[in-house]
Amino acid sequence: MLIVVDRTSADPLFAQVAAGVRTALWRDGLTPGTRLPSAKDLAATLDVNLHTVLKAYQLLRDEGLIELRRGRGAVVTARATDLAGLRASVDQLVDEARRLKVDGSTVLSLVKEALA
Amino acid sequence: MTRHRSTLPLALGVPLAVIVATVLLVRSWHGDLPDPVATHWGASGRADGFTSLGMLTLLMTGVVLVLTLVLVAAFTYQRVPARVMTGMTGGLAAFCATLFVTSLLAQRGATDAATVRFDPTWIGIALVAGLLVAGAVAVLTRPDIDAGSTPNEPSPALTLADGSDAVWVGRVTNRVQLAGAALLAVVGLVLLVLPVWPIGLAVLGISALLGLFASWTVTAGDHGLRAHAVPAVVRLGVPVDEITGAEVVQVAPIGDFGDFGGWGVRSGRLASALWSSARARRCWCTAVTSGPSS
Repeated sequence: MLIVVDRTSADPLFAQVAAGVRTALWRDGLTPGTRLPSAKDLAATLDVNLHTVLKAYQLLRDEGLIELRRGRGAVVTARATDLAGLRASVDQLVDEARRLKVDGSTVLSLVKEALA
Repeated sequence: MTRHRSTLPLALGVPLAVIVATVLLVRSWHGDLPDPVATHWGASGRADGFTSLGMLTLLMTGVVLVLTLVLVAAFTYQRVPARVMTGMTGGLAAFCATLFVTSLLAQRGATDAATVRFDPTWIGIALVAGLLVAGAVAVLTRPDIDAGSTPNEPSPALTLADGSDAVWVGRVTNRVQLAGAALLAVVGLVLLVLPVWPIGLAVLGISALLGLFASWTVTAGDHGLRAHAVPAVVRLGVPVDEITGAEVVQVAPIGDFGDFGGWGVRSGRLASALWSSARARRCWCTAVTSGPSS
């Protein structure tokens, strides 16, 4: 799981940490029950405040991607693996759009229309 | 590394040839042997187990065949060097067959197998025969072919913008070790209720140690490389200023035992950190090389 934080970015650090974990969930194919590094460890390694990581983990919990259990830390949920499958479908969509030379804004409007 | 095509025929063929030769030899003694023959001797050296010659032959054949198949399967899976595999299967078959032959040889001419006493030299002869056959087969085995492994692709370096920090966190679990710990825990709990409870306590202790050190969390960041087990007090690592390079290498944990010494985390001056997945019979590891610490 690779997490990159950019201190010069306008995005808050907790959102960047959450985004890093979110990306890792689909990219690394983490299975339900996988334990994420403890908030304390992650904070120390990234050199950010413990509360920044805790806030990121709480955000991911609210999204249903992880569970926070006392004594077990942050654990990947089954919901996260569903999203990994969805992400694979998005990759297919992008590949198909590139093959057909359809530009990004058209693809986005198609997706918005389908979601509506 | 790939096996030479003669490896499997040797690993299976030598035990098979030993079985056939043994069965033919013992069959030729059929008229001279008591019925039933002795198969087991007590601590005093007196025979206390008897069966027919046919059943004993079947048992010996079955044991050698099953052992051979299990060894070949396990050694193939673990990428154990060809010479070790053929030597072990041939040697083990020779040991079992010689023990079978020597114990029957002592019973030749006896009318009652119960009068034949156990002689420890049978085991000695069987051991020597096993070692001789193992050595001979190992020498005859063509070594594995080194397929001229492709040079390791350098992993793309992560480019970080100014003001950015990155951390990589991964966890590796040796499931075999974890299963072993669980098994030992059950054995330890059973022993606790028996009169040998101190042994049970010791077994439970070993099980706890195996379990606690089965899983490692590895962190790579601007501090360097760190690995810690479940008891976070045990930490290994390489400080960033000592790291001179990093590459992904492929190792066979048992096959390259001399270099890597099985599965686990390695920490030393030359190959400063290395971790591997126990699931793979031949696994990718990340080796971080470091210079001499100043």
